[in-house]
Amino acid sequence: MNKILKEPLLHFLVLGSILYLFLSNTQVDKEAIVVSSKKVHQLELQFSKTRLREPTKEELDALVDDYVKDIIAFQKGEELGLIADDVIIQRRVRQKIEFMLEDSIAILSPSKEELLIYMSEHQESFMQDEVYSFLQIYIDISKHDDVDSYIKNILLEVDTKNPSSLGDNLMLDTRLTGVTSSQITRTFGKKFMQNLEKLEPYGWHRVQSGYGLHLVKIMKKTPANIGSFEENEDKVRALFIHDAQKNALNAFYAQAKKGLSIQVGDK
Amino acid sequence: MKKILLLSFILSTTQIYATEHFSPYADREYPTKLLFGEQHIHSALSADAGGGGTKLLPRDMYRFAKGKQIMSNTNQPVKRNRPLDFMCITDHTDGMGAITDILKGAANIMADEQGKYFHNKFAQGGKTAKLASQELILKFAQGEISPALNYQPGNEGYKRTWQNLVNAAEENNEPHKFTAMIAYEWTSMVKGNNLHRNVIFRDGPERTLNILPFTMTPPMGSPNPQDLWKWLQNYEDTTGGQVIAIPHNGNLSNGWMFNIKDDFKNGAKFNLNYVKTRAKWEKLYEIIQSKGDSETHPKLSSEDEFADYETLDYGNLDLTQKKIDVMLEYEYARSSLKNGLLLDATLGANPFKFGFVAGSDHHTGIATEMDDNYFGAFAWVEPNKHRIVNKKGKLSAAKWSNKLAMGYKTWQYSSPGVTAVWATSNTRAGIFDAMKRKEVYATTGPRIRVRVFAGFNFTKDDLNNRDLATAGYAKGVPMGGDLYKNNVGKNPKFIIVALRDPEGANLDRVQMIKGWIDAKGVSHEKIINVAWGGDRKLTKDGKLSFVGNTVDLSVPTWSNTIGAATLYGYYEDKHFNVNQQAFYYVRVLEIPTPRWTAYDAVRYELNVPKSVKMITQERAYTSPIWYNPKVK
Repeated sequence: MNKILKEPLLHFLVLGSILYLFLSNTQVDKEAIVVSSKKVHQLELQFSKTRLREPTKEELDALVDDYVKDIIAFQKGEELGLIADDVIIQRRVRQKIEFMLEDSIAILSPSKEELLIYMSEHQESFMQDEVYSFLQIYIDISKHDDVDSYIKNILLEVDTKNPSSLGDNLMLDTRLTGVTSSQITRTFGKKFMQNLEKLEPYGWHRVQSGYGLHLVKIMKKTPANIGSFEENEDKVRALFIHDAQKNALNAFYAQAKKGLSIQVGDK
Repeated sequence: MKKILLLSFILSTTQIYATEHFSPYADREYPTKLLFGEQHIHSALSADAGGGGTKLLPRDMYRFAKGKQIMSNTNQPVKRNRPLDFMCITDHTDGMGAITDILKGAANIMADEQGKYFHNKFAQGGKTAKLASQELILKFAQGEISPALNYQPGNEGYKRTWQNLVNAAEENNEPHKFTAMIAYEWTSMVKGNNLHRNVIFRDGPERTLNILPFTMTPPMGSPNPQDLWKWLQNYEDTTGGQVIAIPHNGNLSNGWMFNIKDDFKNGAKFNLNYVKTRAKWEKLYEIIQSKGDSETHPKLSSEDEFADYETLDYGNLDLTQKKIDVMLEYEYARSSLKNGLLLDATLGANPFKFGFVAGSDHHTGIATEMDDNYFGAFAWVEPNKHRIVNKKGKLSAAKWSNKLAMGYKTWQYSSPGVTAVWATSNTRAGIFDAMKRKEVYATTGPRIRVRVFAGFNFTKDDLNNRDLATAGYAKGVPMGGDLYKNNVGKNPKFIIVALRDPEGANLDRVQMIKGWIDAKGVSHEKIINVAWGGDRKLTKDGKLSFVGNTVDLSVPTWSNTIGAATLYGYYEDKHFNVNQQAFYYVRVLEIPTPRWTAYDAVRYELNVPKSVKMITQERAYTSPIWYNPKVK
């Protein structure tokens, strides 16, 4: 695996093969364009994948005609020098090359050992947010002359009454179960989350948010953790491959640059 | 009799919600989760994005959407102020040939000797597979690969771009945490008129990998939306999946997006089949994005003092044809909702019965909707000192037509909108189903929370309910819903609650926007101020004074000393006519805040001409509720 990733020669050879692939399907010379039966079949397949049915004879003819126009236009464009420096074509070809390199990596299957090592080296990528279950009662301080005694009364009743019948209206849930710190931040704002983080579970606390004052009781708090390998296996594999692809691309360009003199700006 | 009628009404509107259990949570299946996401964004896979210097690919975008810091296309570190709940990457796809997909062991591979050889080696895994991979690369390099493995457009390998998109979505889809919807953009443009639609699937790879996206070039594709709808139908019939299409930028269509006659048939009148089919597939409209706001135009809604918001009305998409006033009616949401009622009255179905969503349409892979973190619609307008004012001290052009001698400036791009979804769960199904029932709304960026319910039996007391939704669903319908002529003699009532973004600005006001057609078949619109912050009083004609302005452009900043954090509104339509079709939607306005241009001006110490808007009043538009003068 590693050997392949770090073998720029191979990537360089792939580049050669791309040029081969590029030219292999349609024979082009100045006097004739030959559309192979394989090519016709390909056009047919693409049509049926898109339209979810077989093309009619007329449609297939039109597809072939359209393809021939592509080839003619490309040839003419080449003659007129329209291809060189066309940023869209350049990008397109680059994407094609990069896809091919990436796919050559994607078909490898890393071993469990490799994945375990990767996971331990990239713990931050697998870190799960803290998870909370808590109750919150909103107090609209503008509605109460004596906020302290209002809160005192709520606390007297809170164990015997449904908490969602206490306090003032706010368009947010009273009881939140198994929500991540990121979700809490999104709903109640950063200030609320920063205050919540400091609290110990159980007991009622006053917590400020952008909306005002809340009485909060944390029922359960699960600290941030990375979870087991089994839970993360698919994600580890995907990131592993993704990283390997980036490395392969870097290696490819590094190798290709070795033989080139690249001058930026005028001499 | 009256009781039975009432009961049947309640049952008809609350089929999935009704409950008589002790526990208030038992059977509570109405949507309680409000999710905010991006409905329209491109990666480097879109040729126009890649060609424009965009490097970010779907996997980078998902990392970013989930709140991770990444490097932008111009190598600037960028991070969202908070993660998204979902994202639809809507690339323009056409197939692209690339290397083989041998692992799958497709029939044509297995029929080939070399294909079978490699497939078997790969299937063994471990060292054998690694060696086979090396061998395969070498064979490619030496040109010794058999034609069956030599993938080109047309066979399995051709769908590489689509596969890449779908696989990246699948890898990043985390049900109940983050949803990666599978989507693409169908980019029809006829005579430069924008007819684009985002196509969004409910399904995962098991269905979407069986197809290739519909394109716009015949014979493979078609620029006619009616052919897209056929394709959508065909997709559902063939795969058993579900899909919808969402148009955007009517403002760049020069009157084509919501024309009331068929531009593809020399202006022929629509028939019942057309209007029904359109209503079936196009249940939503992207009302906000970087290339302008599409709610309404000041010339269409002269009474509406908030109509001129991020207006972009020079011409069509490629600026080959200038816009003239007569086109406007067929481009904007409000006028088209009205025309929809008219078509419904004459044809028997409403083709423009859409709810609202928003997006960025950024071609950078980066959508940062907050104005202090604006990263631009294209790679070349990522943050830089000259993106508003160029090196010559002139305003930088975004798009310019020599032919028309007109165009727009980069400062006129607006910061992205956000789609809010009232869902039962943060999953593909949860989000798609909410979109389909139009229980969604659009904001210009801030995470304003809004709920609205309509029914004939609401009272003002229902606003005191701790959970507005309990009363809302029991006695009425939510945004996107329908009222019918079942409660003769009663006016429809609306209960509304809006809560500001926890990190954002206070709210200025909540407005009800009503559109209807009168007995003569003429359409009308009216804006009613329903709730507002501060001690303001309505004037005789129902207008409300300006909320004020706390923006300090030198920082820039604003303060929440005006407006209100939360607004509750009750509205009874006392001008209701039981025989007249109508729609109602809610618009929530924030107090003024600095626009992205103001942050640029301070950060880059710019001398910005007065013509550049520096202050904005962000907003939310809920999907409408329709009144249908027929008994259901």
